[in-house]
Amino acid sequence: MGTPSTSRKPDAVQVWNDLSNGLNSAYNREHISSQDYMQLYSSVYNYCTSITLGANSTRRPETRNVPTPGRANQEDTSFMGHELYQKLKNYVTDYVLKVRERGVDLTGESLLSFYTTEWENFRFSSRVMNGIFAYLNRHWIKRELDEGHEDIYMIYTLALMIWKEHMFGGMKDKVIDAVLELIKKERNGDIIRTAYISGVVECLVELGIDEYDAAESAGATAASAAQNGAPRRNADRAKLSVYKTEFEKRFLEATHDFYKLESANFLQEEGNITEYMLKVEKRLQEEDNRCQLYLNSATSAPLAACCEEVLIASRLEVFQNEFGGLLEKNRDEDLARMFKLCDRVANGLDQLRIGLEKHITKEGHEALARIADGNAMDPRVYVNTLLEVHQRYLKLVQQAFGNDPGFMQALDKAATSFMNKNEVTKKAPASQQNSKSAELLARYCDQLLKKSSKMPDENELEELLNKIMIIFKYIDDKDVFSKHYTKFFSKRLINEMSASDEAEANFIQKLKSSCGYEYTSRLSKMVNDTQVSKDLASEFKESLSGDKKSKMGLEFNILVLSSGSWPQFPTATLNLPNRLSSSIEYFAEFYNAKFNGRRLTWVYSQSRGELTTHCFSKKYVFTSTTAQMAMLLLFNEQDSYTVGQLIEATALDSKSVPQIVASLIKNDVLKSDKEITGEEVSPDTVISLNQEYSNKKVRVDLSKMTIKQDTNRENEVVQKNVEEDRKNVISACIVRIMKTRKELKHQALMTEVIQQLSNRFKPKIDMIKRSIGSMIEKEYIARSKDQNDLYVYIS
Amino acid sequence: MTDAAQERSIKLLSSDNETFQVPRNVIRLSNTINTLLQDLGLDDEEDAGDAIPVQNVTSTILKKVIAWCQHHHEDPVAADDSDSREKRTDDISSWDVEFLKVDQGTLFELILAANYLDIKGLLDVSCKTVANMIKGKSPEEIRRTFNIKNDFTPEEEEQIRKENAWCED
Repeated sequence: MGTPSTSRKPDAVQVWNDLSNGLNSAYNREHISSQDYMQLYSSVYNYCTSITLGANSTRRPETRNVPTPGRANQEDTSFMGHELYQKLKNYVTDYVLKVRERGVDLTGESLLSFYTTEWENFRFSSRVMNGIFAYLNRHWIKRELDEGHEDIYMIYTLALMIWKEHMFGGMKDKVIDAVLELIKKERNGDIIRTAYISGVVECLVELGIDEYDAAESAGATAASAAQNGAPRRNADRAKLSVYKTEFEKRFLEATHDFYKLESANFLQEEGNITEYMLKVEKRLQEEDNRCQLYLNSATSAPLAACCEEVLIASRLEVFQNEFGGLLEKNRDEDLARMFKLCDRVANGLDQLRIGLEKHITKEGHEALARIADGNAMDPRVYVNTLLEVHQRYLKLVQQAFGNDPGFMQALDKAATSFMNKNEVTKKAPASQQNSKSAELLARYCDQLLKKSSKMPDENELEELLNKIMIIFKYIDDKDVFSKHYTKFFSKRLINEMSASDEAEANFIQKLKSSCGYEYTSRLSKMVNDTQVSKDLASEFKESLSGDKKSKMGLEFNILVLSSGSWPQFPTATLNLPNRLSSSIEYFAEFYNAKFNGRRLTWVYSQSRGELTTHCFSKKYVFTSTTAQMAMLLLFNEQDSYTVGQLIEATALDSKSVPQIVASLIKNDVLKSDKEITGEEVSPDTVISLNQEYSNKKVRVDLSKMTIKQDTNRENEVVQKNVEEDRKNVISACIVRIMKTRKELKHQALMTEVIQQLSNRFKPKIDMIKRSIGSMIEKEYIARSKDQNDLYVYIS
Repeated sequence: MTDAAQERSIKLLSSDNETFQVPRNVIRLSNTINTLLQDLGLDDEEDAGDAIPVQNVTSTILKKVIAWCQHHHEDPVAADDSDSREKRTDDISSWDVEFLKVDQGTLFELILAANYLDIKGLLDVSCKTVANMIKGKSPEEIRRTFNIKNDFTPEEEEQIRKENAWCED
């Protein structure tokens, strides 16, 4: 085998002489030409390979008995590599000790200047050395590492280790002191040379090099980008143990002390929370910048945590105490700032949430107390007041509190509190206090959806209805709302008072998506009924023969509604005038022929008609209720009656007649010889037609006067209905739960019932207990024989 | 490295004093030269200076080495060079097979040059080629292939055979 020109065995002493000259140039930062560099590299290469080559060409006799040939060669190289390595180590150690000697008396910035400059130089020189000794790295050192020898490092790493032990180890306290002092100066507003700090920090990071195991380091060096890439890559790995233990720990302690003092002083002297928050915000930003600029980014999180702990967490009480005041003064910007700051620390927001809930509750109650003087509450004012408070704080939560779920919950809790029980509802009779809100909301809906002169346009209405839905969600007694709403809705349908069918359907849809199909099924049936009825009415009209039509002699319209879906209407007896009764007979005939076995009940109380007068100086058209009509038609026969006669003729009850008469007198159509007050009217009071009646308008609505019924009594009726309904709903719920569970403890059953009904109403505990009692009586469920508080379903 | 640095050429001087111009991004495959250029800061200078002496490599071999680098300088960097990867000798590209169809002396000098210049890819592929020459051959065939004199005594040979019996079949 041919051996190249390197076959001459190098003289060890000569080789080391050459190399130490080269190292002197490297460590004195003298110019090294590429020729010199290659010369040095080749010396190391030749030195390391010479033994192997020599041994191959002439095998020595003593190796003959060694079973694995080549072992001797390894030992030789090993010896030579080790010698070279030791020499190198001694050289660098000497160098570092000399450098340290020069810096031993320095402190402060001059020390930092010295340390960072020397470090940069050392790093540069060591990298050149690493390149020159690359072959030692690749061969002898790699093999040592592969064999698991400790205390052997890649050349560059070795240099760092020496620096760390002799240079850094000797002066680290003074260096870190100086760095911390410099940072303190900057915190106090001085301008500093940040390069000193970043230099030290980079050094500390790079000294973390021995932290990962040798094998990994060897692998990295063997890789293609080896010699030069290795040190940098190591730094990228950010094995920060030296940085963390030697610097970061002390830095955080210093930071802690600095801000503890600063915040104490600031709060004592200024005491203004707005200023303090601005200061904290600024400081947090500064520290973050500091980290990015000249510390290691890994310190970001612990540094922020440290500052937050001192500046916020330990001052939470101050924040909490000021929170209420800021809410009071509507300082949204400060509130947002406080939220952001407190959000940074653990549990920082808890007290603020509680504070917000208290504040909104208070604001809500106060707002309602302001409007609660009047006896009859205007639903529009009431709902708008609720909305105003809610909107104000919804905006706050959205804008200042970043839509935080906890704050949203606080708003919800507060809204539930003041929307269900407040100064306005307290004015209502005791039995209706709980459901007053629901009633007023339903009334407001009626106002919006009814035909009126100042109708909102489509978009406005949509917006208003959406707002109603916001409040609706907070209302506890959704069943009460439903009852009232149904009542008003039926009136709108019967009297054709709906402003727009579309709006009605739209709102029902909203209720449905909020509470489910069941909640609105009744409303939907009502809509359906009126549709079916319209078809029926026109069918009836077409069926009428000319003969009957002329006999009827009037326009006649009917609504046929199924009694189950509609609210109960009062059905008073009434003697219909002949003119009307024939129409009813015809329709009954038609209807019975069409449907077998259905019963028609005529609800005169909900009916109305139009009369044309010929008895006055001018022709008028009166819109009137059926009862009014029956009464007025009597005056076609004669001009005056006693009350007694009227009662007899109409067959109305004695309480209704004075009311109807009074309504007509108020309209000046009739007059009486005595004044009529209240329900008690003597039967001999004479009522006569007012011949002098005159009105500017031709069309007059007489019915409005009678419809005004006592709302209180009406509400009581609703309330009673609601109570009745609730009993049934609760019982049904209990049976439904028990049927699926078979067995359930008392407490669990209570919880489940309350939970299942929560989107309808809040059942009272004793009401559920009574229902359970009655379910036991009716033998749907029974108490377990073994356990008293366990119920069992009886199938 | 800037683009300009990538495109400039570097002068190499062989042991027999022949100068070669090699593009910077071709010669980067040699870790030795690459490190030198970076460490001495020559990438940042206008003129890379005098030729870099490659004193252990003759012009014949250096020419081949540069040709190999030229062909491979755009190869993707091997993702994983760790020991965990399976070592195989049958994954030599056809270009490399053709490239390494040279006499034994040249092959061994290429190995030495690759080692000296620290060109991992070339070192791998040339060593694999030698490994393939050994694979599946009897000791006698190997001796013939590489022209090695048998300097074992019969006793020594018997001894070795015994010790290695476990891998015979």
